[in-house]
Amino acid sequence: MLSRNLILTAAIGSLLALGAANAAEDKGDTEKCFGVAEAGKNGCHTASHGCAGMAKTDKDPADWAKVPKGTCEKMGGKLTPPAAM
Amino acid sequence: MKLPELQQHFIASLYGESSDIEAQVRGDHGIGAAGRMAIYRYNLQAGFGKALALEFPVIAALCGADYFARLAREFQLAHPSTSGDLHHIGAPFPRYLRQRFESGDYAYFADVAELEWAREEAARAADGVPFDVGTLGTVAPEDTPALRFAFQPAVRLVVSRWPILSIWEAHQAPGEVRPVDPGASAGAEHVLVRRAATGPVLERVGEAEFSWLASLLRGAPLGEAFDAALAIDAAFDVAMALQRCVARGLFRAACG
Repeated sequence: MLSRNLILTAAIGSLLALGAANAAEDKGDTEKCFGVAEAGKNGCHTASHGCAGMAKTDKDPADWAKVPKGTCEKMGGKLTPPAAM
Repeated sequence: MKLPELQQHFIASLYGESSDIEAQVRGDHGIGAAGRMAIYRYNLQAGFGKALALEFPVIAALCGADYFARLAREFQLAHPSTSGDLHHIGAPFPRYLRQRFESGDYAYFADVAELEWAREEAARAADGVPFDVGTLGTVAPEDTPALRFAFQPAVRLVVSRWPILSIWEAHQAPGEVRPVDPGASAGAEHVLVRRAATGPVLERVGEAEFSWLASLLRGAPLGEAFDAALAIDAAFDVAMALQRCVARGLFRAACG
């Protein structure tokens, strides 16, 4: 029992030593990317329909998805919505 | 006929029950009342079926379009949408498939559907506050085994006696489905579902790690989760497992 507790304390200690560097993964900045959302997978709200998941066509330029910063335009998306029709 | 009564008849007719709604609907401009109701009914079915196929693309692919449409129709009759937001319709689908294909060759459908639903939930779960590892610095060594962790809202665990993640992965590259033997001989798979900045992530984990994660996720203290993992694998490395939890961003907070 004592050795189990020592192992756990050491494990927590190693987390504290390493933690700060590792914790960063999910904090990556994202950008709103227009024209890359698959049908039904868009984030919320465009001018043509009310809410998430209602995009009817793939890669509609008015729909956006959240993507890691810097990757949007590489996928053929745009950082700004198209001008109103 | 009063309005609530009229609405009841309308709904009954949409779900295929006989009702005298058609006598109440005016249809003297081209399309008759029965035709108008049929258009409405078809749109209700088609919209539901398409939304369900978006939530369960692997099940839809395994079934084929025609069979999936029939299955969706059956499921819709048993579990009609109770919300204007079709995102919620899939919640009872894994359970429905479990009863529907109880012991036959397609019993694995329910587990694949459970994985797909976990992925949907992970995609839509709220953003949790990132874990501050520094809060662990205040935990006294003697309190460490009693430590509990709160998880990010997107974290899910799915286990199956079938290779569900292999089946799911086989359907991800369009046009080149590698057949996966769903036979029980192909082996069980333990899957961790979480969300990274790029979207949901599905990862295979070992049995001991799965047991460790399941214990912590249920709110069991660290010591108990460690014991559960050790019971499966005597060489379980708890320090590495904790580091993976933090690197994967599973935790939201620690409480002593």
